[in-house]
Amino acid sequence: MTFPGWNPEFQAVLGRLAIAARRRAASPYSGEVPSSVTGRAIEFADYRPYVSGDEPRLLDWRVYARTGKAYVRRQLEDRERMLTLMLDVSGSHDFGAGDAHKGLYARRLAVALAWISASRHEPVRVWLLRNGEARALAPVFTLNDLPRLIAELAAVREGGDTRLGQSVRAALRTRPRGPVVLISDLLHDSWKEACLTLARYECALLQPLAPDEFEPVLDEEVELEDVESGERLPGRLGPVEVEAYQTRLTSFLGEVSAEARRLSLLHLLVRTDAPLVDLVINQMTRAGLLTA
Amino acid sequence: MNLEAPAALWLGLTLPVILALWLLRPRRVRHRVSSLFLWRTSLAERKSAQPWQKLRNDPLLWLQLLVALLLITAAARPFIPSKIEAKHTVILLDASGSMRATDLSPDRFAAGKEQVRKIARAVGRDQKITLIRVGDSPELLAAAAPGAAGAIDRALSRAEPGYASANLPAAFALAEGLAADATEWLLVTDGGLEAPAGTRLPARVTLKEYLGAPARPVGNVAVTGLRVRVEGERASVQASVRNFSTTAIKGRLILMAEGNVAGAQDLELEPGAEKQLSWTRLPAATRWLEARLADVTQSANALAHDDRAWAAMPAQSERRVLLVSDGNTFLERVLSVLSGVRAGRVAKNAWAAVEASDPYDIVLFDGAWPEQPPRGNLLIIGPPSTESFSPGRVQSSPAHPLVRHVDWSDVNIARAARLPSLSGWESVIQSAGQPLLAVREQGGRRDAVFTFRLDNSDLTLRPAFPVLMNNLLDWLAPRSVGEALAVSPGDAVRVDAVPLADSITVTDPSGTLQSLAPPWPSAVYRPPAPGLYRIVQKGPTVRHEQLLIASGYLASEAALEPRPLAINDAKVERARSIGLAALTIWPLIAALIIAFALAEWWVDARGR
Repeated sequence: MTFPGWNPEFQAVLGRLAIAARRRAASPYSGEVPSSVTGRAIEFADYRPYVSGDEPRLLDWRVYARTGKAYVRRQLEDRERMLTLMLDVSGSHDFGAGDAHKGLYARRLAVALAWISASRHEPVRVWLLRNGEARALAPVFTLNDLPRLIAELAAVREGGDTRLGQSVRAALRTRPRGPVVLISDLLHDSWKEACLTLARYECALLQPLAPDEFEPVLDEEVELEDVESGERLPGRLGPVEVEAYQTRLTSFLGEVSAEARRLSLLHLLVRTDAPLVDLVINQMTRAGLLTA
Repeated sequence: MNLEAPAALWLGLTLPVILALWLLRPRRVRHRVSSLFLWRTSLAERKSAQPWQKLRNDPLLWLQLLVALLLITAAARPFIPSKIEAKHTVILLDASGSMRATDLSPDRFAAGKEQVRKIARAVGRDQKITLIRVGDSPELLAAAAPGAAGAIDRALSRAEPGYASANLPAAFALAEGLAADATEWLLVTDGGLEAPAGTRLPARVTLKEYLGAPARPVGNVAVTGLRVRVEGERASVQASVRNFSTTAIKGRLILMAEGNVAGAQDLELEPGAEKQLSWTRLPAATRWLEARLADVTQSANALAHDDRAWAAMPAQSERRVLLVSDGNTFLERVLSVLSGVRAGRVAKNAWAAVEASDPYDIVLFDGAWPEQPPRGNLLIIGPPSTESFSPGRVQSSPAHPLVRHVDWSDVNIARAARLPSLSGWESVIQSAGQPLLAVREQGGRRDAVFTFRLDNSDLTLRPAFPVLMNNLLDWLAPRSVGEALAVSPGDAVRVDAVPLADSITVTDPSGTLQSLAPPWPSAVYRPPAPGLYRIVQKGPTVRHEQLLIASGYLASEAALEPRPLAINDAKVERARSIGLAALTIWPLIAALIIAFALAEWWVDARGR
């Protein structure tokens, strides 16, 4: 699965990026990310009085020479972390034309993030969320596993209902060992529940919306059809109605942003007509989701 | 203001349809959205299940209604009539053969009928129209009918063109008799009419001739004749084809023998040229032949019914006469010299057996009256009678075909018999109120009787005798019975019954059978169209078939170019079209439609 702008140069750029670590790694396995676990490492943490049984080589002799008391030097260990990608593949993502299709755009974005993570030797687990359930794809440990992930994502077709809170909870039954990225349009009543559930983790919300969702097409008499549920809503799509909708959308996005701030979640609104290259290199870096 | 096409007013039904469309809710366009999550509050107040909506006072609605109204009015083609002002107008509709030309669609006659309809619609309700179809005999289609009513339309719907030339003097006479108050006669024609010398137009009448034919030259090619000559067992045929066009034509003439192709020849004809094409060594046993034109372009041959001609092989008919006599030199002599007669003689006591075994066309009794009539027609000369009289001054019916070319002035008769009963007999020659020669027709058979013996008169010594016998035999067994009849479509054909026939039927070219007899005498038959007809006479022991050929070619009708009509000193106004409308309104309406349609577009575009 490739997309416009995906080329060797872009791959090289992705290779230089990393998922920003906003929290210390909690994995029991050693790795490359600083953790809060003290042990044998380079990074100093603090001192504690020597107790019987401590290895003598951990004694800080300079402190002992200065104070006459035996202290043991404590250091933070680097531990492994795993990127957890939660991809909303419900019917509401089957919307948008061409490259601006929300589902396609979200899957391409997931591939880019998985590439960044795998190139840093950080494993990636991808969850597909829909119908209140979460289906895990096989984990990605190295760049060699990425073609398989790409093939699996290319075969995904968006459909089914959202029930986002329920799906997120289902995915979190496997405890994340690192940052969590939820890619979803959040167009469901349970979006707050999902955010609240993710607040315990180092989580980023990427919210893709298609251009037509920002600027609906004007028409006289219409019947709006929900692509996810098939429900229809008759009405007139005049300037007044469109303006009302845009006000409602702005209000909703502001609400999401405020909730994310309150829960210390990183929130990034994504227009699917924006080039993915620009999104990854500029917007996500500026937002602090990625670091160089 | 009158309407040329009032039927278009039915289009007025579109006005309520437009209103209904405005009352109906428009069909909603379906738009797919990712989720109704954010839309519910925006569109909730628009939900409705009513298929109708309140009629809005929209300028577009009024403009659409106005445009529709104008379109309907334009379709009805309104005009203001001006030319026809007479209270009573006679319309003479040419129905001659040339009106069948297809250079106008579907043909000239239909175009002529449309012209008449226009005239009828142009006149007011207080004006009258007398419509006469001018064919070989004039036919009154409508007498003093109001023009605006549907009487003229109904009369026209049953009018068909003929094949013969138009009889203009008869049509004028009929018009004069039916519409004595009419001062304006309109002749709707293609310009092919000819007024014979002596044709008279009433002095008060102005004749306006309207030519329905187009101005451009139109061509026609016709088979002008088909002749057959038999020599032994072989026959030769000569067909004549004439090009009435102003351009040279190419084509093909196909000869059919009893429906099968017997030959074909290519032909090329210069303008106005006639050409003879021959076929020889055809089998003489063929009963009839047909020549038909093919592969001539439609534009050069606008008249179809003169593209075919038929001919029958000459009949080898011979009348068989049985003379029942103990010997009569005069009768035997005259029967032997008359052409087309094969006679035999038998004694009086043996005739019944001979006639029973081999029926004769005519049985001639010399001095005897048979107790039972023979099967053939009967001629009695000098019947035995108990009562006789001496004829004095002889009287004859000079118009009767039996006495044609018969001079009775020097014939003397000594004694003649009185007929026992005169019932059913027609006296052809009589004296003192008693017939000397009487004839009768009964149930398809013919009888004749001389009431005097030949040896009681000097008739046999006079020139009248062979002539009278010839006429009698022709009447008793018509020579034409075996030969084909050649007539024009519409001509009256009287079929002479053969002896012993008890039915006569005619089969037209399409195979439709029509009975002419019984009842007797047989009905007159008029072939309705060119073609080959079969007349069949049947009896218990006889079946006789005769061909009837109705030829479609007439020189005066084959020439399709308009010719000036000259009627003595009468003034004939001539025009190519009927100027019915002083002011034709529909172009003005069409301009208004365009203007309002543009306004509607502008209003609609402004509202978006």
